[in-house]
Amino acid sequence: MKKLNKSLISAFSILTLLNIENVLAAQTNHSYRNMGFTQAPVVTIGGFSEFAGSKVSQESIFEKANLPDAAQATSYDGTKNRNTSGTQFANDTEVHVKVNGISDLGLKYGAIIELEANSTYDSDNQDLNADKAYIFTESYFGKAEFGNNIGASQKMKIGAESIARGAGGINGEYLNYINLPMLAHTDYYAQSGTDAFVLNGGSVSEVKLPRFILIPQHPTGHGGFAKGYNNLMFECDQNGNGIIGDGTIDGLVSVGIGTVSDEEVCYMARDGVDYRLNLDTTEDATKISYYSPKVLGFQVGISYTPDTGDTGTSSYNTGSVNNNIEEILDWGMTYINSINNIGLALSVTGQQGKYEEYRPGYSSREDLTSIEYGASLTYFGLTVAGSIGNWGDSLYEKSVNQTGTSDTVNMYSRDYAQAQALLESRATDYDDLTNYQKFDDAKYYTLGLAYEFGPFSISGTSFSSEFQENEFSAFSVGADYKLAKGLMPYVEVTTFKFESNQPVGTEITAASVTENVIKDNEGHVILMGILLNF
Amino acid sequence: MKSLSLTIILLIILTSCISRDNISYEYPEDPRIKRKMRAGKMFSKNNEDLVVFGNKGTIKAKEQNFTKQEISHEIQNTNQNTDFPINKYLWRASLEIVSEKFPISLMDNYAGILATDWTTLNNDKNTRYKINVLVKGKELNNKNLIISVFKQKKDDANWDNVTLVDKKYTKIYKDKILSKARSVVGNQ
Repeated sequence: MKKLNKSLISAFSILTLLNIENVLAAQTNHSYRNMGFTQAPVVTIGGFSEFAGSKVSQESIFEKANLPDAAQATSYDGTKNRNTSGTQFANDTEVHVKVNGISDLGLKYGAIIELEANSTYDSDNQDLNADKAYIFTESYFGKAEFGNNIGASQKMKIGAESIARGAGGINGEYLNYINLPMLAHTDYYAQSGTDAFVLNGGSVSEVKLPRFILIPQHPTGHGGFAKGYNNLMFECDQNGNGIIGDGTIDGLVSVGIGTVSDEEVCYMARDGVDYRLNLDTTEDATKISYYSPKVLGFQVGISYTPDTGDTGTSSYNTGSVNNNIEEILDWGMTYINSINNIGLALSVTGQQGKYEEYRPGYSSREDLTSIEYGASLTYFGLTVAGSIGNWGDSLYEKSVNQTGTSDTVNMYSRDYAQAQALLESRATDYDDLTNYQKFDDAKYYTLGLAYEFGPFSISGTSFSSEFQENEFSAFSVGADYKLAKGLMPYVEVTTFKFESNQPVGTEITAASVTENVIKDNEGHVILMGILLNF
Repeated sequence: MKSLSLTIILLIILTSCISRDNISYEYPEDPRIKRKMRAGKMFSKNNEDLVVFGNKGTIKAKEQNFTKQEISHEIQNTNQNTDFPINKYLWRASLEIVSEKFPISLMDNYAGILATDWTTLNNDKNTRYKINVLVKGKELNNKNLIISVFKQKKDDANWDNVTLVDKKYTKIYKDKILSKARSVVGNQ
């Protein structure tokens, strides 16, 4: 981290110096020439409104009115299913206000405020407020941004997602319409006198709830860290109290965890299912970014985010309240050039950061380190693009519990076979546990082809990922047509498939069990929409 | 990360050493905004937002002033008139240089296309020349000026059907146009 800090300081010293230099130059010139330091402010308004209708096909268990996460002990029927197979309509609108000015010396500056204008919260739980709001300066030395905006890696990455047409293909709009795999309660819940099975020790903490990389992004980019379904019975509120029924975690206590306080169960649940790994909205965390000019086709960009919990005004800064990621350096390098009608674009982007422990003594996580390589080749209207991303072991739970009180939380640092070996060696020295093999690096791949002729564009984009042996793949075909200035109808069909890492052997006590404990989902989503850009 | 910092420093040094033609001030955009921009913008033909306060011309004028002071060369990378889709200095220089000796047969200032009729030069009645010029993009640089000078020879009384590109004149005219355009910017 020392090295990281050093780099950080040097990188941002440069950034700061560049801006100071501009200001100094401007001021010197101002007094020397006795000119007014006037601006030429221009305020513009733009935005978009997008309407989409959907038709979804999933596994039948996920198309019912209630999800299969029912907790029988609490007479709870299961969460109401938000994503059934019926036709759904959705709308998304934003209004963008931009302020632009230029100083006497040509320092361009301004602010961009992207206001949400929806009738509900959006997918990032952002309410009727700003999606992004930041200040920028542009000079001979490059561009700097200060505020809530996406980082350099997200802006500079190249891959199949960059060329996706329709609703955005593998960028993940279709994900809002499907259910993630989940622990199906009727299978794991013990019922005496029946042939239902229980998990080892009757504790759900022996089972990993699967998480998936759903979008080709870095861990704190759009879509956030790998996502999974949290069975409702684990949910806890900010104070560590259960939020089901009368406020107790009846389900968990009943399945044999024993007499524990709500708070403790909540922490266990959190450690198990990452409930509080609050990374869904970090792409717009408050940051500063610097982009160099494009020199001989080369360009670099770097963003610094002190804490992913700082996403707006100072009164909402989180400090050490949540288990966020700190000191994130988010960077990108691109080479873009065209020779004889062939366009070539290459990119390397990455993120480095440090995990902020929420509660010392409970499970900790690895630091953030991820990298992505992308390329695209264009010949007239035809473009081929692809990328390879590697998250390493970013934010994986660390293998050894610091207090040594319970190693069950560390299930998430190894695959099932290794975890079982770990369980059997509980009596041994914890130092030896580091010798067990960890999961492979989490990674993803994209590949896509797009063709554009006149106002019509079509693309096929594919995505596959693996996160702790949980695999996800999607293939999307999308087309759009520029019907009029600012008006673009589109259609998109995406097929998807989840394959969870299922607990096997001794994790399940009943030998007769043939069904998967984690219910996987697959199917397709049809989206038809119209975009108005103004 | 150290190497990243070094790269940034190197790029900054490069920006001050490398020919202006090779530096451009385009910055990456939010990919989701890029997707929406494919639809264009309702309010302007240049995909710009609706102005509710101020005048874009004042900013453009400032940019012009910016270059005049030779503090930055940004003007060369942004056209002063956003309604004009090509670099106006390159366009004007092309017109002035080419029209000195060639009759112009085709001109489209929005597409940036300029073509001439066949003409003989330097009292050589047995060789005739024709120029096609394409100005593309808003930046004043080498890449945005595509020029070809064609020549034909006389075979007895008729012009030969073989049309060749005259590399010498192509280079001469390209250099002339670029120098003219740059001198206009420099003199403003």
